[in-house]
Amino acid sequence: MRRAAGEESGVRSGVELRGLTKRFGSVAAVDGVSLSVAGGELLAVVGPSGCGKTTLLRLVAGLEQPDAGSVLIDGRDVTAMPPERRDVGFVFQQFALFPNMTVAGNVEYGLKRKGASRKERARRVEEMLDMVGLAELAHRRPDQLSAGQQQRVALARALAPRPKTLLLDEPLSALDAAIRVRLRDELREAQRRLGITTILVTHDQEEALAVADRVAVMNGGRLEQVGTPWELYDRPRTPFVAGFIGRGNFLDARVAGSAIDFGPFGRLEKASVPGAAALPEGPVQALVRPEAVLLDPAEHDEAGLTASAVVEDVIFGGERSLVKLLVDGRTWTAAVFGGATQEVLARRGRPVTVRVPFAALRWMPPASGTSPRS
Amino acid sequence: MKPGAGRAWAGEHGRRQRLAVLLLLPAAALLGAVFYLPVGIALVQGFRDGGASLSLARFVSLVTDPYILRLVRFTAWQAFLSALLSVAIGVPLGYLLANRSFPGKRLVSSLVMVPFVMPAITVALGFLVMYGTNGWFNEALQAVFGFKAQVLHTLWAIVLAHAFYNGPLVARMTQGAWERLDPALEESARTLGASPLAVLRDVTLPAVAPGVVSGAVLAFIYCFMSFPIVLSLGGARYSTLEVEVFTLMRVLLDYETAAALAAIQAGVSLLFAYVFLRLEGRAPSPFASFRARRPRPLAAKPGDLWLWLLIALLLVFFGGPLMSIVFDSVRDPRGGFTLAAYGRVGSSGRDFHLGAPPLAAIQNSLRFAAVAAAIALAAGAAFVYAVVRFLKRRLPLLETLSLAPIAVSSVALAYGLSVAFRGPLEIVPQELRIPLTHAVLAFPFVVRALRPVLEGVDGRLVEAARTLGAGRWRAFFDVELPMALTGLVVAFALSFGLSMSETTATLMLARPEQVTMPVSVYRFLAARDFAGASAMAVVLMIVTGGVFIIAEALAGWVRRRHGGTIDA
Repeated sequence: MRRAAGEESGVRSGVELRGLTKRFGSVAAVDGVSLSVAGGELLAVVGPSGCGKTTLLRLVAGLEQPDAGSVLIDGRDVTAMPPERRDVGFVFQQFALFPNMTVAGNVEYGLKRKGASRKERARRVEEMLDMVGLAELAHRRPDQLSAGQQQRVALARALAPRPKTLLLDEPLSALDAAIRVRLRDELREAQRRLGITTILVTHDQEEALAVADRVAVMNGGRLEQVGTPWELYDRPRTPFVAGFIGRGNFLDARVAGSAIDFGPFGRLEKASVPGAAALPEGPVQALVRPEAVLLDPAEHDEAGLTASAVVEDVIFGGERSLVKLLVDGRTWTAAVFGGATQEVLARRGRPVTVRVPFAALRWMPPASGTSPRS
Repeated sequence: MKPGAGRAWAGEHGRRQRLAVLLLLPAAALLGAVFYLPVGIALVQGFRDGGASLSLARFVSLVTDPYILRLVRFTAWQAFLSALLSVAIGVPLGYLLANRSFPGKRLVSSLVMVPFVMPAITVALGFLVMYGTNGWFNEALQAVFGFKAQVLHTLWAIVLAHAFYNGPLVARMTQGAWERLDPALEESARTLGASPLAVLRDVTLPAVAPGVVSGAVLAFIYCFMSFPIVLSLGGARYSTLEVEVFTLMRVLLDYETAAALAAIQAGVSLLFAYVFLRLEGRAPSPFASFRARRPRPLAAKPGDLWLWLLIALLLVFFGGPLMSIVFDSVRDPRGGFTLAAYGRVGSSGRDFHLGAPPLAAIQNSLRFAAVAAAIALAAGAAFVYAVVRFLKRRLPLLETLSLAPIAVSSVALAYGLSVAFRGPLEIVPQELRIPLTHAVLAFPFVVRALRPVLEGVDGRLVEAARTLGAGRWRAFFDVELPMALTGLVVAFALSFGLSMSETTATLMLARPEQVTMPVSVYRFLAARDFAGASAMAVVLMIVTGGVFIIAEALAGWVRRRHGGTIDA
């Protein structure tokens, strides 16, 4: 394929997707996605099932061919390249270990295909199995391993040929909760140490927030937002992202002339609400994170909206507990920390005053998508 | 959109299409030339109306003829009874194979399909010797109950022999369905408060039933098409459509009526083949995380008594006719035992009654079977690969086309071939004609044996290999081929056995010097040398059984070495 002359010279490491589209019949599984992943970065792609995130990963690997758009790896257009020449490591959801080979045979396979010498292969297999702590299981067959061990073999196999890019398709979803967290941290540690560009696909936002440098949220084949975990949490651009990343309360309001009607939180002049000047006429919506909902605020607390509520339930969570509040018939979630938990536990079924500081209001654009949790 | 991407995709798509077509080519050539063409030649005769014009008049007169209607009714009735008895034998046997372990199970498992590939003449011979008026079955009845039963030349003889053939078939399919049932389902029903009987009713039977019903429908089709068994065991009183086709073609030389009748018969059996495929398509597939069941040993306690009785009964039913042949082959008419009959089987001299020497028949059979199995396997494997990997959506149509050789009268096929080999197929070397015919008849079985095996190879394994740097071919050799090897071995053995036993078409097509073992059995019988016929049948059984035992051992070895997947 011909490339513009300048494209090669500005070699950038990492993965770049340009206007990638893949249709299955009339459904666009991936719909015009452009995205770049810097060299050494771990990007997590999250979204509900069926949002196209796995298809996106398969397009990067060359396991699917796009209907439009291109894939660049380290500045080179690989769109027309078959998967075996793209230099990617892929970890499949159910691991896809070759049942006809031993653990060592699985890890060795990619090295063989690369034409590594027998000595080099043996050394590398040992190194990789040491890394994942499975050296003593080298001659077992995959069906004799636990799910966690299989996952480690799958990772060792993908990394053995020193790929430029590591692609992980729900690598932890087949595992128990306890081992999932441990392997998640191991995975992150290995990725940092090797400095390998990585794309992790997961439906678990917590997993994504915990390990990723940046997170891309997908919905219906399109990118909703890409940013650091904190950006997505603090400044979600759409109600979908707001609902998918972290917990949140949606505050419905209505702008009428110079006033804003906040329902149970009362009616205020537009000018008295910071950041509300640009709001359009009609219904508007703001996101309020649970930790911004203050219970029984003291006089000196920052200015905000105030309403009365009833404590419905408290979900104890150690260092942070969640309080379910009933505000004018709607359930709100507030977070309380440390010692405040004990106090609120004693107040189930009792009235309480809640305040939302103006600074914590995150105005949503006029609703185009819907929140997955509403 | 970057223009290059669209082209690349179109290129990949085109490549897959071309490869699929290329893979279908051998099967298309084989079936087209050696099946569809001759069958077409034979069946079109049924539409000839005196001169060159075509009409349906013959069909109309046939389907309103009370004799033909009675024939159709009887053919269906005996097939129904045979399928019923096959289920009665096959389901308990399938249960045993899937759920229990017992001494000699491996051997039983290797040999269970042997009856299915036995030449009809051998089975008929075994039945004659066992159930004849002076056979040991009647001797035993006489000794214990004081009477003899007329089995031969009754409907019972036909049904028993058909069950002898098709019981193992039903057993295999029942076993397969049972082994695909995740034991966790039965266990969870127990934890939900279901009694063992309720589990059987609510979980086990619904899961196993599709396999049993498919097996029964397949057995019905085979029995509906059955010919040599009815001819040799039914006597003059019983005739089926296929026997009638044979009589019309070979005795009365009324090709037109025979062709019309064969067309009607093909229509009915294709209908059942369609039902069979539909039923099979509905069978649920197991979950990905699927636990294999662990067979429980058969115990020497009252609860398992019925199973021991069942094994004894099966031994008599399947072993009886076979042992009868063995016994007959070494019995000296003057008393005592002799191996003289084997001497005649091993002779290489020409004989006035037998024609070509019997030893040549053994050599011919082995050579034909090896070539036929190789052809059927090559064409069948390429066909299955193309269908499973590239043409999934066209599966129902392609599979029906590939199964047609089961549903069409082999008498009509052989007749069509004998015409075609004198006409458009004249260029086919004499030496290849019989193997090609056998390959066509084995083709549906190769497809059936290989499809589940290849479907069992997870496509993600190929993808995993590709992300690790293997090209498409490399991934095929490293992943798919080793995992399908077991199935290939089993399919080869099945084709080999089917070729060894094929009689109808061989009798009608072979040149005098191209005698095969089943044909030689006929010759011995025609020469009134019953011991010789039995000895030849024994050699045939040993060779066929040996092939299956070797195949099973080889498959087991491959499994241990490569951790292969599914047992076909």
